[in-house]
Amino acid sequence: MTSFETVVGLEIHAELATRTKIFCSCTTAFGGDPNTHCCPVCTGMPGVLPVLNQRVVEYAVRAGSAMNCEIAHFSKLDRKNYFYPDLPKAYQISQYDLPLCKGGWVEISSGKRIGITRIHIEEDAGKLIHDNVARRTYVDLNRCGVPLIEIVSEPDMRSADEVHEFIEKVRTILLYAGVSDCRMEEGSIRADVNVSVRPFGQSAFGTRTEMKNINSMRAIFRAVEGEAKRQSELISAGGRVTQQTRRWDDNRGASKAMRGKEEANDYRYFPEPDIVPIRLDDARIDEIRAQLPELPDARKIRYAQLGIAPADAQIITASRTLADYFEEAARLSGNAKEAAKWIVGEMMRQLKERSLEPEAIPFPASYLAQVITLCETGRVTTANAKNLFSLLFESGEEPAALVEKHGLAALDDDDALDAAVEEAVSRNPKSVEDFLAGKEKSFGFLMGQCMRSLKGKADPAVLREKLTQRLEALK
Amino acid sequence: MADKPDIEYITRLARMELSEEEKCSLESDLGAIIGYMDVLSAIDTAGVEPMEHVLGLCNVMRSDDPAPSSARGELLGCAPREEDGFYSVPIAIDAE
Ligand SMILES: [Zn+2]
Repeated sequence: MTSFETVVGLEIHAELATRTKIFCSCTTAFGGDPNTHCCPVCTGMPGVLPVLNQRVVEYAVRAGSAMNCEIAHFSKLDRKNYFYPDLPKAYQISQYDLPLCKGGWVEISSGKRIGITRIHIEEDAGKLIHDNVARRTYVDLNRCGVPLIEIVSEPDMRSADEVHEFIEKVRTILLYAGVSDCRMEEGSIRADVNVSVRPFGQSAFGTRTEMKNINSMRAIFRAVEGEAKRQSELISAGGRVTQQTRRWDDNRGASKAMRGKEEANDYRYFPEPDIVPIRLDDARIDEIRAQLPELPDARKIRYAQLGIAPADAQIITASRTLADYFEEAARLSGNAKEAAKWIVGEMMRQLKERSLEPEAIPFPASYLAQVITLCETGRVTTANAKNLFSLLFESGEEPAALVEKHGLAALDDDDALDAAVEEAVSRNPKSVEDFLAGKEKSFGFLMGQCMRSLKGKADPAVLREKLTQRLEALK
Repeated sequence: MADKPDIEYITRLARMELSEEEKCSLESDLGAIIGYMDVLSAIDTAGVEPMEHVLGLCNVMRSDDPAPSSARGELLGCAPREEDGFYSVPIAIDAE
């Protein structure tokens, strides 16, 4: 069987984190009783005048700049006509031939650049609930008019893994740019997925199919793999791929062609007469671009200079909140390497265990800096520092107070250490004998016994030294 | 010459039901409109800037400040049928 290369292009829809809708002052807050975030403009009443939300333009330009796009000096809105109950005007206001942003790219970890064809602004539609028994559809227009950007990629991805990485990267960039919350489960980011296959080595693209509106990362991944497999098998069996819109059914793990009626795609775009064009001069574009924070790729380069391993920098920069937290802890403790070690290790472990996002870390970066300092000065042993870290998640108290309260301070009492060593040696003659006979393992056991009687509070290096001296003396 | 308008296709897109008589008269009316495009196409527009909007304005925008939405009853009252705070319409998808 010929082996096929998968070719994927995406259209990612991301909700912009504005307070109000794109053409009216209704709130974009999630939830709310059905049809309570609506007005005559967003429900498409005749005779109303939509007015563009300036923050939508600002956010879209920020997103475009962050993805290396050229920002249009002149841009306009257009009507995309179609009938569906989620769209009360019977047209969606979108952008057709003059989008705000064009020709950018996003780099994935292999160094490969995925091209961004364009980014345009448009309005979201309402939500429908279908009742098959009553034969009715119930319409909630709260989402109608919520601002979206549509990010159209070039067909540059060659595997489901690349697709996954690209979406994650776009998501991270949008979060850093502060223009979208990118919550997939609330539908604030979703994608149309275009898939085709071709024999390896062939330069012409195969016939593509499109799967619309997939709203989870897992479903997108499975849709790419499933559709590429279906097309490869079809071609191998002598068939031909038909260009069509298909619906991905994630429960069945298969795509199904949509009927002709559903796909009648003749949107008859024309310029939106109610909204006047957008003109942006270089000064304004620069002003918006200046609102962008330092992006993950730039931070990774800077972290490498601090001696942070690339894999660790990747984990830290995956979230802007985590990256900001790291920088604060590194600055306050003066020890970036330790700060990175704590965040990649204990912090990630605790967050995962407690199913928390970095936004929910219950203590400030200054507390982590204090933990690092307590370790460095030997006030707390590494083992106890981990206990301390766990306690930070449970109480709002400062590290120093917790050390006091839970007796976590390292012993700097020589006598106590000596006594513990003496006790371990006298109580475990067999282990001592074994050690003297050359069984190195017994040393670890004796160390453990000492630590146990000291309740873990001893500095292991000091204790090891004392135990070694004591055993040497017996030789 | 511009193509003859496909009345069947246009009425389907517009979700309109027309009698044969109406289709005939529309076909000739629309044919005349489309024919006029030939007149426009014949004009030499080299060097004429495309006009994107009749008003010649740009950047009319509002700030991102929320204002109260409408009373739901008022909006739903405009619809032929409502149920439990939703607009209620004939089912829009076929059963699988
Ligand atoms: Zn509204």
